Amino acid sequence: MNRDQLSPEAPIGEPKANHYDPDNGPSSTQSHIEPDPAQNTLADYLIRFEKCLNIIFRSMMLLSCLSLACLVFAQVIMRYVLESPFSGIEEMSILLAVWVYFLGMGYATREREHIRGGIVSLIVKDEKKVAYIRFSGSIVCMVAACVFGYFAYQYALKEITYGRVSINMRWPRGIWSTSMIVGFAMMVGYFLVEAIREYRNILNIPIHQDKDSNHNQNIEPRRLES
Amino acid sequence: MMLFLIAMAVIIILILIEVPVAFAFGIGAVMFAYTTGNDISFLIPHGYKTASSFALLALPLFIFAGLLMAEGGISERLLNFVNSFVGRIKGGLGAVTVLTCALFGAISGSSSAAIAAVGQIMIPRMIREGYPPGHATALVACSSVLALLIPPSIPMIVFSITGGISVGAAFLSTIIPGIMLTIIYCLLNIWFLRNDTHIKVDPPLPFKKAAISVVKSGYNAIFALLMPFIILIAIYSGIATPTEAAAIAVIYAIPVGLFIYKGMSLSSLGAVTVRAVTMTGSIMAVLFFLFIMSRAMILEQVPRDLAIALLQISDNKYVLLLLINLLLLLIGMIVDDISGSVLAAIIFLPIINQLGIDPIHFAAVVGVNLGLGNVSPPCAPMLFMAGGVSKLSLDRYIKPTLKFLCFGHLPMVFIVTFIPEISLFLPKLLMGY
Repeated sequence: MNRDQLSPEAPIGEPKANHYDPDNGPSSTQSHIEPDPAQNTLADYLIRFEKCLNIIFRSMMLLSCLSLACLVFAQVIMRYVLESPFSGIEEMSILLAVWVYFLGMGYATREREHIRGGIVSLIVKDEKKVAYIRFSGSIVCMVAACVFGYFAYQYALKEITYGRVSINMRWPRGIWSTSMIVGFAMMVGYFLVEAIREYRNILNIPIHQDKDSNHNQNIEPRRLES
Repeated sequence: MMLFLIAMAVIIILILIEVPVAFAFGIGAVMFAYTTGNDISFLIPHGYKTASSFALLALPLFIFAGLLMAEGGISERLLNFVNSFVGRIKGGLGAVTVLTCALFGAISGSSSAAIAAVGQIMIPRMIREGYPPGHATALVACSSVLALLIPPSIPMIVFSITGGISVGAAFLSTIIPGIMLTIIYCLLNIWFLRNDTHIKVDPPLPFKKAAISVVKSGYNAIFALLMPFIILIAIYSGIATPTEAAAIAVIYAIPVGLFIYKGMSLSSLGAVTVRAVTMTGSIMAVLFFLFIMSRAMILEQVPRDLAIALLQISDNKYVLLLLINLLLLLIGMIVDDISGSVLAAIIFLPIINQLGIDPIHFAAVVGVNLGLGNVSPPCAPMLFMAGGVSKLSLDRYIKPTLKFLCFGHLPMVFIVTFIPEISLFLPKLLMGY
């Protein structure tokens, strides 16, 4: 993957290599649909806010993933070198793992890294129709993430209000289940951004524009992850 | 059953219109549970509890280790190593591609990583040396699925955990099919290109020079080549569980990438970590919603009903195995390998147990079938990714792909299905299975 894509400044939802399809090399993301910060103060603030959030999320991801690897490795060392396994490590590993999972799910939405199938761009040649289908898909996903997020919130709230604690460390179970709320909240937010982007894309595609002609105008080529 | 079929139809439609696979299953699961009158509020907690298993921790750690090694600069070293053996025969560069994909799979466990790392170097190189572009693309796409068969394989981890079978045994079950498929692809590549006069081949080196070249490139690649051995020895000697072996691999890969291969800096270590978490997130999203779907299915006894329906077609073990193979292929053609392995474990494992087929043998059957599905249109994620690397349209590489699949992968599916000894030999030998 191009490292620029992972920098905090990378725009949301850049298309990835796993979006490849034979007829749709270039992306549907258009640079000119980005709001001009000078002209749109609200958008400017929102973009800055997202950048701050992004730095926080990336730091949490970095910390949780590296700690997870070190913790599980420490388990082996403690068992064989120190000959005193500590059962709390397993609990802490799972805590870090659930944060890795849900932060990853949220961030995958931002980066459009969710696994997708689909043959829309193979069978529908009208770019505008493809954009409509993708916009609908983003809305469906956002609504679904809201519903799942609501149930996740209910579950986490129950764990917190009942004062449930973990078996070995006696830590509040809420620390574990809050990861779900954060993950789903990220997904809702980023699917919303994706939907707005798709909507702007629809507005910017002339009616019945041919895909090939569109490729040559204002779309940057899809980048390859390595 | 009708409601289940409707839910599946909705899922397939959502996948086909490019809704993320995870959300397609999530929406389908909620719809199915709601229409069958079940309480949907328990679904999310169930998915969460199943995902919080210690064994599943192997998944992010193996992904992380694989990405670290890939970032550390192993691709070129592995290519040079394999090239020193077979690079100077006609079609040798194709064989180098296949063997490097297999080795890369043994290190990263990811087909897409194999295409990104090996395909990017080898497709242009093969085209430069006179290989037909369609052939080069098809070869990379088909070889990339070797990563699913050669451990550590992410779909095998997922299948084992969902099906409640040994991860170690499932890893071993696909090694021999993986090696056989590697050899078959190398031979097919040479056979298909035997009459091609455009291919340039370097003259063979004298034995002494060739030996020096092998030793030199082997020395350069030694740290990358050691990684799969460290993982396998840690697991099969009983030193570590697969999860712990994955953590050992991560701790091994960081200094190798930073200080030995020097392909990685501290800042790129951060970028790789974020990428590993993102990749884990995209896989876990699929698993999370599939766990929910499986719960909804089990509550309605769908696997049992499917088993009865299949057993009504025939009670002959081989006919049913053929039918299951066909269904697995269809699953592989529509969904990704991770979803396919979970679905296979949920839907087919009860039937397999009822037929008296060894679940470890079935793990190998699932591995080869899903690999085939990954390069079979319409969805064929690996095929299109390779096409994206070579910038060719589908019609340019579909014919060579079908040739590789028909003469290579498809016969392998039948061999693995009907000769269980191939997949059970190593688990019996090393684990006393």
